[in-house]
Amino acid sequence: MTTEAYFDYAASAPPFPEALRYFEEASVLLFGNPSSTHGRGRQVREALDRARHAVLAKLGFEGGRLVLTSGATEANNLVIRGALDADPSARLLLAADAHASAWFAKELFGKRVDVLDVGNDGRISPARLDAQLSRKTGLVSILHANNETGVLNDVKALGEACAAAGVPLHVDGVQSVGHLPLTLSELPFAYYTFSAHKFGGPPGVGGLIARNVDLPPLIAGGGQESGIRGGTENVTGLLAAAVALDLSVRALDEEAPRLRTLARSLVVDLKAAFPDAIVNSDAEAGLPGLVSISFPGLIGEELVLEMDLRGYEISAGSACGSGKREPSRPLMAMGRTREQALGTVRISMGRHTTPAAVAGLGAALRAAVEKQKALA
Amino acid sequence: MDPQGVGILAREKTLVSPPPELVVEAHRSLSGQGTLTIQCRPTEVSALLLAAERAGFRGMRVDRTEGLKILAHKTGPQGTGYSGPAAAALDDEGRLLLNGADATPPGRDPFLADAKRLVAWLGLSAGTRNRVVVFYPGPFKLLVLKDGSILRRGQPLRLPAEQAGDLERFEGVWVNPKIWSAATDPKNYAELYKERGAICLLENDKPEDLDAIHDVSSAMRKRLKTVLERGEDYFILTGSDPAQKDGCCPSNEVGEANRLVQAGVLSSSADNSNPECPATIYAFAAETRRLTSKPTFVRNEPLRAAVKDRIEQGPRLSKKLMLRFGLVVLMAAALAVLAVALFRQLRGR
Repeated sequence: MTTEAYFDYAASAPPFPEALRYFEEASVLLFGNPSSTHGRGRQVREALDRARHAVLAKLGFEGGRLVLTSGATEANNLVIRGALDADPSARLLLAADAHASAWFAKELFGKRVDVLDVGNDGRISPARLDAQLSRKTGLVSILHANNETGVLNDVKALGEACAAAGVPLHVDGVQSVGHLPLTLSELPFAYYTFSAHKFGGPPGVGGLIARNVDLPPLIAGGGQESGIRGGTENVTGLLAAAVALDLSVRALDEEAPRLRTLARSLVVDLKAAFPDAIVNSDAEAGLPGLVSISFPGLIGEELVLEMDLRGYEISAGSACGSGKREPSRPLMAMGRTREQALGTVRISMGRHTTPAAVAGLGAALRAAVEKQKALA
Repeated sequence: MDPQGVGILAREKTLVSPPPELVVEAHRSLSGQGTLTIQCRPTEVSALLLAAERAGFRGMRVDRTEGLKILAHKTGPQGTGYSGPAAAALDDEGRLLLNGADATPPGRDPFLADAKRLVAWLGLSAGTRNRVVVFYPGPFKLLVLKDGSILRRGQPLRLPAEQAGDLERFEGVWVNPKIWSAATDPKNYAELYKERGAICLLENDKPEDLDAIHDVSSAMRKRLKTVLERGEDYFILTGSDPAQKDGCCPSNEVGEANRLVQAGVLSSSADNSNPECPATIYAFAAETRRLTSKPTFVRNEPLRAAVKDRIEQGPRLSKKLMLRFGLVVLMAAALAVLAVALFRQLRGR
């Protein structure tokens, strides 16, 4: 299996060798505890601060802070649980297409959660948000880029609507950090979360970016991260993440249009072969290189395995839940039928993706879909 | 309480004369390096080895210390070569290891070429005089002896005494084990190859039950026909067998396909990448080999032709059905004779 045949960057991107080398070297040199007061501890603390600043600078964010976590799931939990636990009367307005790491709130907080509708294009309209905000809304949680469709929300407009109502906005930026040019200082959010392995950093590293963090800790003890997140900081992980982010952001000007071209060619190819296929992604204005396409009547998971046997790694949105196959919630929120949602696959490209690999993937997917259609 | 079953997957499990579904369940519940011990009677060995093989166990070995048992591993020994008294050995992944041949470079699969090469290597039959019963306990699925005799694991066979002696010394074959009352002559690889091709190495001795094709839905028959007509290697189904307790996404299609596996018509290979949403790859019997994490396929052309013929021609009278039909005809004839006799008697009055 070659890296060129990997088309699941949205799940996890291949790490940058430079970041891994840095991780290894830093692990050997910076083994002290940043909370220690001795020289080695101070050295590690300085490295941690440098890495924090490097990440924030790369994302164009000034005057705020980065709380280091184990990834975006923890960061999302920290924000949502924190906000709802801190104010028991507060309600959460949660996007219908939220990732499972935020959607958990629907089950955990039940009636305190209102679902924020998304349009048929997968976007949340500021007008809709405005209409759904209430005096009791204590937090709004949205995705910057949907992880299944790559559709982008207008965070600026949505943030302004929230600011006008005096409601903090949480943005899950897992798919956007390292994949979109960002100047976070210009975006009116309260909390922005990310994960390093999505942009070629090591897994197990993520964070919460905020202007002010006034949240109770999810993991208590130790007093690290100003008491917001207990536990010794993953300094080497953040250093490697900073390297990966730097490399990703620097390559964006060339990579984004290249990936859009590849995604566009794949969509044209697949639509020509299967006119009944439904494209859920936006090759022009969505996440670069992400294609979500539905083949009604087929099972996405079967296509994924079929493609795996043909040497290509892609993903599907459906999953088993309550003992039966559940269609993707974000796709259903976009108004897709159950049949369309179940037959959906996601192809996400990245820096190792070549035109030849995309052509090969297209041919393999055409053959796989034709076979599955014949057998359906 | 099984201490290994708390929180983590068990490394060892023991079953006593289990039905095949318990063997499948054991495979699911054992850790990647787990071993299943099956205690059984001599008459059950062959069927239980087959059940373990179908469940996905590897490197099976029959053991007779402290009672008869089968040791089945989830991860088989990664054989890179074979040297011993036989001409070749076949492991449970479907790797054909020619005696003394160099290890195959990664990424290459010389199975078909080696299966052909093996025919040319074979010598004359070792003769039929002075035969003894032998039992090959494993761990290979089978050995092809230098005269072409196929020595299958778990099957008592008759071999010339001299040949048996070598096998006893170098392969741990049991000679005159006394626990089997019946033994058969081994099949010859060269003859089978001529008749069925390389697939004969991967097939089991148990004949497939093609009648099972007519016990599944027409949709499943159509699926099989499409696979045959399109020349596909396999088909994929997601969901679990409705017969499986607590299975996710129960699927009647999976249940039907699994019945065809049990009947020896299909072979299956579970994809465990997403335990929440099980997916299974089905091919025709003996076609699936797992040399790496992904299966590879060898066409079972004789079986494919038989299945196609059976689907197109419709059900045939099986021996059991023919016997029943014969009995019905006999009873009808007897009734007719009785009726005629009765009628004549009444008329005579």
